[in-house]
Amino acid sequence: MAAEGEKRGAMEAEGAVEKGGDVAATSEKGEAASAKGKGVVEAKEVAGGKMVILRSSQPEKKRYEVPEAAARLSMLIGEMLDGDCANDDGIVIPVTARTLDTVVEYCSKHFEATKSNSDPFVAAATKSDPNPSAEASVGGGVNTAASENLEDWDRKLVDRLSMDDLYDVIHAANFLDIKGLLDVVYQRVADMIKGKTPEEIRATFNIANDFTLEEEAELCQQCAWIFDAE
Amino acid sequence: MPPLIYGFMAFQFAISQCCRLCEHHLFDEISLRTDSMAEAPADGLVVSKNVASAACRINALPSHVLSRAISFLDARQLVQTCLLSRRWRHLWRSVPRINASRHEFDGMADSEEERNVLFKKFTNAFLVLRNPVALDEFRLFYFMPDHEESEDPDADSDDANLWIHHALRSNARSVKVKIWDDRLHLDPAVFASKCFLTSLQLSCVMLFDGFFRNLQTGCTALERLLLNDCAIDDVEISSQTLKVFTVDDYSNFTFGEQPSISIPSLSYLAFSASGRIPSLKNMGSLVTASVSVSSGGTQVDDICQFLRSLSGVTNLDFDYAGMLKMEKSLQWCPKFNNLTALTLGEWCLAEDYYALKVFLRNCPNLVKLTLKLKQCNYTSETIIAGLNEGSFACQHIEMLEIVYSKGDPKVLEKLLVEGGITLG
Repeated sequence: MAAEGEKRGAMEAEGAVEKGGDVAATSEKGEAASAKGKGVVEAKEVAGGKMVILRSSQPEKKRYEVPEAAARLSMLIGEMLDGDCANDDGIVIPVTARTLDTVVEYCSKHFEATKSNSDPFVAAATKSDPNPSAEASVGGGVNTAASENLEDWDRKLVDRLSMDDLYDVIHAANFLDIKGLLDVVYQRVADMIKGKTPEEIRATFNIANDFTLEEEAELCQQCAWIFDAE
Repeated sequence: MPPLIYGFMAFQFAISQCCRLCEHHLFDEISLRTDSMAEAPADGLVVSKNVASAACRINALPSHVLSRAISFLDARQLVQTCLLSRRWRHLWRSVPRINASRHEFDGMADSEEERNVLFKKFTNAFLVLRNPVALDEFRLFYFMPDHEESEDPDADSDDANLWIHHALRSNARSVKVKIWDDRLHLDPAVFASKCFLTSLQLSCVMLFDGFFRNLQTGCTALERLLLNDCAIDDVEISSQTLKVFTVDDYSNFTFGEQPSISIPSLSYLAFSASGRIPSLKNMGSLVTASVSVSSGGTQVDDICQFLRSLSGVTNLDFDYAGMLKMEKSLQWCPKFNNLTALTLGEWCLAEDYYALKVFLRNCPNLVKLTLKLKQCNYTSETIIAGLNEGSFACQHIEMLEIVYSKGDPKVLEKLLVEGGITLG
């Protein structure tokens, strides 16, 4: 855990380094908030964006410093920043440090990706897509190597989570309202169900079969149409 | 009988046909479970011993969270979750997404037609039995048989039209349709009634006359329209709400008339359909345009007018595969005062970099120039040397990027140019 903490420390430092340049289009709100001069969180101007302090709540109050635009990928944090809800000590998120590690990694990576994506054509094409994802693109041809690499990165981030970690991230992403991260974790859950028989699915997720034999037979009869393969 | 009413009767018929005991792996699966059963308490509740000891965190997720997680499953697999446990029995009915995929039936039956029959039966039952909750998204992956071998190609498309109509009536915000083999005959009437659609993606679909008109009157919230491999009969394209409109190079306008596109709200346009270059009107909100034009039937005037309509954009990717000689005296290129990023293909280097020079002369605020080349005959040195023939300054250019499109698109050279390019 300590070694992990050190590794995360290095990651924090990476996240804190601003590459400069324009703040991504998605952080319009961030720009507005900066313009209003809200100094409720530590307003360290780092080459184009304020930094925001986040803290985990258990077991230890680990401190994360992230660019405001990255933090605003969470709708909840965005609302808290707008609504003056944070104190100087940063925003306390009721999740473990281990979970917040993953969340912060996701937000930082996606913030960096939108900043460094200098291709205005991709950015324009994927704007206002309610469900953006590589799979969702029905031959639209608007995805590039860059956005596919981000997809791969997302998948790897989530694939290495244990089942317990996965559930924790689901809860955190829901609570923080980070749509992109939710899509990725949900896709992992769906991938773990895909192609499996009910028995295999139960084994994967430790689901107890609490049907009586009569219920099961009745269900089978009602649902014959799924298995109907004449 | 109107197709919609016939379709609903077919639903009911399909259900009555399907209610019989199945003999497939479900029963095998029950016998598996009873083998691992440790206890059978008097009230009939059966619990598998080794499973009860571990926590079941997935069942502890709130219903709306679990519903969203399983909404990523294809429809048939989704319904199968009703067998997992009591908690799961009815979850599938309220999932806010439908992924109806013919691929789930690829391993069954002996022919595509039979597989389609199974898929249609299943999808009809699925749509009827699920709860009428509002849909985030409806996705359809469907097989259309070859029209030339079919007796009635329009009738082949009836079911799909019905399903799409159902999705719109369920307040779907996003619809994605991908067809293979032959094109779906999309019924324009499907879109005529008011709906909440904001994003529509169609792949391998035939769009008849009246499609865009209906889209405008019915889908009053539509912001995204993506057409891929579509045959388009309707040439009048207008909208007050669209922000993103793309037509790819596999699509075509079936009639020789010039298409007309009038979308005052449009922010992003990608157009590479074959056929005559469209007439663009009311492009006042357009920020980014990615267009590819061949000269089939196109006049020089069309190109002049086309570029003039695009003159307000910030980012332009213009590929011209035509044979028309641009008269050197003609003002075919307007001033692009807002343009900061320009992408041109190899065509602009012909005749001693003529077209490239014309563009550069008309883009006073250009920051980034990208050239997409097929051959490796050019490097940044040769290009800048070639541009030295002229005498003009692009003072704001910061980057010259050359992308070779042979094989994998690679950015071979990214030249950061300090202080702009001053030539001559």
